[in-house]
Amino acid sequence: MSLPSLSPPLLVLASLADGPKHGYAMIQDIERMSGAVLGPGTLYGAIARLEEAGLIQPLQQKERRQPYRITALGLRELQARLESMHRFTQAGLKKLEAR
Amino acid sequence: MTPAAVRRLLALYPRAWRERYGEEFAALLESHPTTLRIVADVIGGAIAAQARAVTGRSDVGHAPAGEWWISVAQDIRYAMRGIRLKPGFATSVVLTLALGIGANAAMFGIVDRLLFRPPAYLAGPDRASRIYTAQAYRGKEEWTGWFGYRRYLDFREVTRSFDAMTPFEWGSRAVGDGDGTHLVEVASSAEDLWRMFDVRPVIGRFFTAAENNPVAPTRVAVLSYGCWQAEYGGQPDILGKSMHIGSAQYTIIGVAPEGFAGFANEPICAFVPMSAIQAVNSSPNAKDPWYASYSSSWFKLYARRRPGVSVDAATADLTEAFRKSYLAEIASSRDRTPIEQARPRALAAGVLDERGPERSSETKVAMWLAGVALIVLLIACVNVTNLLVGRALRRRREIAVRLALGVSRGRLVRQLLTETLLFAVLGGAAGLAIGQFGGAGMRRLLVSSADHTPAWTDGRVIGYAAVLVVLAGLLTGIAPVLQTRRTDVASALKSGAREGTARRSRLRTALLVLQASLSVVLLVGAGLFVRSLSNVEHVRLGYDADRLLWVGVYSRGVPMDSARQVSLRRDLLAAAQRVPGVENASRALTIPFASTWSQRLFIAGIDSVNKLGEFTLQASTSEIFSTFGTRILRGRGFTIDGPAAPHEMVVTQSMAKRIWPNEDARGKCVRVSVDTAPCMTVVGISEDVRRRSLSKPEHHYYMPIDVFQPRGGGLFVRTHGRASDQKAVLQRALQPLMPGASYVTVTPFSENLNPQLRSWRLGAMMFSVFGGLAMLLAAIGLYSVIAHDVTQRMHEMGVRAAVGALPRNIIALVLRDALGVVTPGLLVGVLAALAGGRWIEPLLFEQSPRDPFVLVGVVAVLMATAFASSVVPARRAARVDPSAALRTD
Repeated sequence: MSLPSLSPPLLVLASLADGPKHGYAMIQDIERMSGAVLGPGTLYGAIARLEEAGLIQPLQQKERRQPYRITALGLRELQARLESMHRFTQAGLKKLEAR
Repeated sequence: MTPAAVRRLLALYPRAWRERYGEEFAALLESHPTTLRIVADVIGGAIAAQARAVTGRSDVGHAPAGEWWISVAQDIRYAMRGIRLKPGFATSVVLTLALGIGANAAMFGIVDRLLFRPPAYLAGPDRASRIYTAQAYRGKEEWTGWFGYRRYLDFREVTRSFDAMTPFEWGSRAVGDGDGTHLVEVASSAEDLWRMFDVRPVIGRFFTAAENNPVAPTRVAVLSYGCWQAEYGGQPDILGKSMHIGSAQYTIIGVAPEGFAGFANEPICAFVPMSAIQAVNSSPNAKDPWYASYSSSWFKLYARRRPGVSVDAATADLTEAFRKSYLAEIASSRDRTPIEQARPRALAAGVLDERGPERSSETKVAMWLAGVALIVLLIACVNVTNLLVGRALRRRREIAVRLALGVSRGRLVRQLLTETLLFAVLGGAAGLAIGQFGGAGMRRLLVSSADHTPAWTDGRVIGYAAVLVVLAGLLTGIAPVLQTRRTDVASALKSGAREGTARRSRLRTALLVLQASLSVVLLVGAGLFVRSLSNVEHVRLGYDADRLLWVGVYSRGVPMDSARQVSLRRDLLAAAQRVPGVENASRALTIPFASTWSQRLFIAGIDSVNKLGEFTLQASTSEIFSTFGTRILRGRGFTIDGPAAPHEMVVTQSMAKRIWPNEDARGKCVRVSVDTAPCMTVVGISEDVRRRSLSKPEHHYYMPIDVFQPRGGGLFVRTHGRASDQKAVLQRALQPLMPGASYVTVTPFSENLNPQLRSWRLGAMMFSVFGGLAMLLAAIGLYSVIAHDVTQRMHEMGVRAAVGALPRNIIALVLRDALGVVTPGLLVGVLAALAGGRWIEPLLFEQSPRDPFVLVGVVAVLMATAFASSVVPARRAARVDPSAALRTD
């Protein structure tokens, strides 16, 4: 049985945290960061939903590539999600140590 | 990924999405290779985007409960992962379904063309009809769909139900000049043809009522698009040019749109007014002009009902018109059956030939094959179900674990169905490809259609395949789903893999029995058709069809009197006999399976010879018997040709028996046409010939052509080897003898015979293919079940080996088990084949549907197959190492 991995929108937000990127760069960055390989359909599903929610923003297009940057709202959302995950990780590890 | 592939994938997304992300998404896709994973990912993304576009809902993060499309996309991804993990299993399932769906797509393509699809461009297909008439003949009602021009004129004048009516016929006619003369299909009709179809000329115009005036027709031609391209390279200045069709020149006035063939089911080169072509062909000396005579029928008649007129009302209107026309016919000719006995009636039927009152045997065979294809699909589904149930049994513990972890049964069921539907979709796509290649061959055999749409771009075939895909997906999903629902979590988790499934599931056994019995039915069908084909190919026709060529003689451009016509034919005969490779040749008037001629006969002492049946004639030179290979049984053939030919006759055995049952026919006197004609003396009795039907010989007689019709007919040529090899040589040798623009055509006689054999050939071929397929699927199914059984029972086999069972005992045990499944299937199948035999009997040729040879043969073949598919697992079981088997869980 496999547990659900990190959600694509969270991965995209995390990838944009250190600066704007276009789709191809995001895919490579996410793979380096988490080992997960996002397909183009999955990536743009996440991008569309994040943009609609105002968490990311498109920048000036370069040739056919479209870079995105994370918005202030996006940063707050990412922060909150990562902190909650962090709390969860620590609690889980503590339980393992107590065995 | 190529830009074209990207475009196709992008098309799956909602328009608004494409406008916003299309370009950047395309740029990203182009940097990826085209792999199954990427394509599946993009399709999954498109489904989600479509769902969001429909519901307008957006979310960040995981799909909340109730957002079904997200979980559908997840199910699809899960199923794709399953395919990637077990490619062998997936391939066998997809291929099995592809064979089933492909067979059906191919058969549907054919049946659709024969029975359902209206001709291209037909305007208001639901109001268009082909007209048929019936009259009683010797107490039996006989239908015909062929008419002469006078009847058409009567119908057009009297009926009120139609807003368009046109005769339509087509045939091979010579076009071009000199050595470039060749045969193409030319159609003729009345001006209403262009109103019955929703067409506009590509250039120029169509012909008018004035140009089709029977009294003063104009020789104009409308080219088909294909012929305009092929014969004239699509020249735009073609209008006004002249073209040779048959023996006359026609002016080209327009070009019809691409794919238009009128009511013909093969490509047509040109359309001309019927009056123009008939005025050229008809004899100026005939009693009635061609358009005023009831005596010959050569075209089909089509009409379009006025809006609001029902089929029944149109049929009643036509029947009334036919009665009036029949009365007019009786008034002009005394030897017609009185109207009270003839009981004439008419019918406005569907526009396709096969929707008329009588269906051809090809269509009946095609409908059977469509049914058989459904059985093949059923067998394929049964097989896939069997594989899936086997896998569900193996995954019993995994499923129990997932249930224990809280996955709902509903979700599991949906996942299983998604998987089987995905298999069916992939199978359907592969099946369309199979249908394309298999179907093209079958279409050539069955329908020579003007429309050659490939299966994968034909919307109707794709639609049918889509319905089958959904059916197959659900059908194959039901059993594994039931299996899942029965999973008892506690006992499945407690049991070892072995205990859970040691006994073969009753469902799988039942499926195997069903498969075996369906295979028997199909193979029996195959056996019966193969035997029929063999019977029909070995039936003695009374002549050697494979070695005959027919030479048609057509004069054009030069007036020839009778003497010149006769001497031309004599010269052609002499030249043909000199061609190397030609064994013999004879002049002849009629062609078996193509043209028939009968005359009234008068014999002293017999009141009405015609009451004894129909007697058909051949007029020929003396070499006809050696050319045809027809045996003279008693007496002799003709001896002298030319003007001195004596008044002699040779009759077939069956004609002799019919007219002079207990006497020797030789020396009898027969008068032909009128009772004052000179006496033809019977000099010989020949073997019987089959000329119109393969199933029974007809009453037939021979006369010297120089006595009966010296200036008519063509040549039959007998070759040393296969006739078709000599066709070109003969044509080159004879054409130089033709004066002016006249020409000869040379056709292998077997071309006339092939359509007669078609239904049996098709039945034998397709039943064999489908039956073989069914047997293969059944063998795979049996193998997988027995192999699975053996794996599950390794422990038991180990115990048996440990207590002293020999390998051959274990092999016998496994084989007995396999035969225990197959035997009931065979029994059920044989009973079903016996019961169904009477429906297929009319399609067979001198063949009983209960042929013991076929039944025993099929049972033996299936037994051998069952044995072969269980021998491998049996040997594996026999090699079991007791200690290893007992140690495993």
